[in-house]
Amino acid sequence: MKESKMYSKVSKLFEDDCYVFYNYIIPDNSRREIDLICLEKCVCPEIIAVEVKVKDWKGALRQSFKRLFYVDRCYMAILANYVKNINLNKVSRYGIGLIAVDGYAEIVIEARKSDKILSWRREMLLNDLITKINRGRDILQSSTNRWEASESFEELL
Amino acid sequence: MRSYYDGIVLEAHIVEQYTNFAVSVVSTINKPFFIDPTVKLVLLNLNTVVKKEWFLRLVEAYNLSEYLQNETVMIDELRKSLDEFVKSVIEYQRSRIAQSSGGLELFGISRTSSQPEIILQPYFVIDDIDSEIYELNLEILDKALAVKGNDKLYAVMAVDKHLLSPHKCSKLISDFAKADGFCVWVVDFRENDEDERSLKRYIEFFKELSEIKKPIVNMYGGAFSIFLGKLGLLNRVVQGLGYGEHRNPYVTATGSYPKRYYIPKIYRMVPISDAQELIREVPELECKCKFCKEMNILNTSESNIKTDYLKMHYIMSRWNEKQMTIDDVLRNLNEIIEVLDERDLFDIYWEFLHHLKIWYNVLQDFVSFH
Repeated sequence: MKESKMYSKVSKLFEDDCYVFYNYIIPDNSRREIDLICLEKCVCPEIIAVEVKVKDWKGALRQSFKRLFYVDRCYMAILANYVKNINLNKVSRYGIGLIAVDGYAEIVIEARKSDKILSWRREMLLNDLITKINRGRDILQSSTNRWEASESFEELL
Repeated sequence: MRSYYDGIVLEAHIVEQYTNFAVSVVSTINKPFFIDPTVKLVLLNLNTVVKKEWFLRLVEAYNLSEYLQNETVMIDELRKSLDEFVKSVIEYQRSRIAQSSGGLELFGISRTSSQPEIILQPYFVIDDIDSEIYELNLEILDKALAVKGNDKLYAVMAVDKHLLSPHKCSKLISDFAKADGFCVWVVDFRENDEDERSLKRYIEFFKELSEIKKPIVNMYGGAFSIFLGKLGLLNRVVQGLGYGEHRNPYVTATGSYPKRYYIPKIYRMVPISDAQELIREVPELECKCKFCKEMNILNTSESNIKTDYLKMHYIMSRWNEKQMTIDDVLRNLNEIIEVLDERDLFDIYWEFLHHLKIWYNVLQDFVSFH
């Protein structure tokens, strides 16, 4: 299974409660890209990041660790076959969550709330995501009303 | 800031492109300087630079046009008139700054004549010790020594990394030993990324060169070279502000100044985002210099960080490194390695941290054996 094929399976875990964006480029000069970023649909939303890899769990761990400075929680998603290779102690120690992907995606370890977050970075992401959502809403209101029916906000953008 | 550096190096193409600026800087800072005459011409094939504004001016100053064919310097042709070429390049270094007013006279400012501290032989990158280019560099050195007069004439060893092997470096050093001093450029040698073996060869090269007892300038070096200075292996280290701790003439750099932050405790430049994360995780890495306090690096987005502050912090950090003893360096390295190990950060930020253990081992070994 290719990495990109895993996105939609992982997305299903979050899309009921969150707006989900694929391949989100962080709006600073870092050139970093988050595979999936989710913004909760509530008054005080949390931002959740997911880094997806087929089997390179160490790469996923490195990326996920760095996301903890931007978002409230971060998961790494790995193909289920390769989960046995992962040093779970290390993943837990950093507070990173783990998702195993096979026919469907399943949370193996829940992500803890990040204690590394830089509040200005989080705010930057939050503002950018809200802007994207509002822009998408404007586009929708001026064309069709597919908004309510959409499974994933990302599709509409 | 003037007390935080010893002098400056002006590259000839910069002098030609920004003559007034270069002259004004030299006049104002009142520090030793010298000109690197051929840094942009070292490959003989000049197709990447022929369209530059400064190129024609340098070609004229060095009488190079006769030896150029299809944007390449023809070695045979150059050899026929080598005397003239060498004299032109040396005369350029002596007089280019001294004879220009730098536009200051317009403002009623007269400037005293500025002479470079040293003169460099014209040079080209040496790919091997049995190559035509190697012989050409030696011929140039002989001719430069013949016309140096009272000036201090430094040989330039711009060499590929493989020439640091014991046999080759001994020949290189003995062949260039006749100069008054040495400028060394090991092409694309990245102190932060080299393995232990490569760094040991680097040290051995400088050790052997230092035994000649003449001044040595490392043209592109970082903190590791500063540490070699503490071991008595070299006298000066040159670096571009923020991005010039190594140089590869085969790659044409483009784009704007890359904003990076120098973390003094790990002795290297790091992209701003990674620097913020490392400092957030390891508060011991925080620098308390006046520029860092002003920048508030941890809580400021990259676009709001002033480039000049990054550069001034870098200069100040390098100066502080120069004041340390080798015992301080080893102790600091050991302490920060322990802290980073404790926080389990070597795996995550490996690309920015892996040099620390290598440096510690290599320096500790050298100190123990000598």
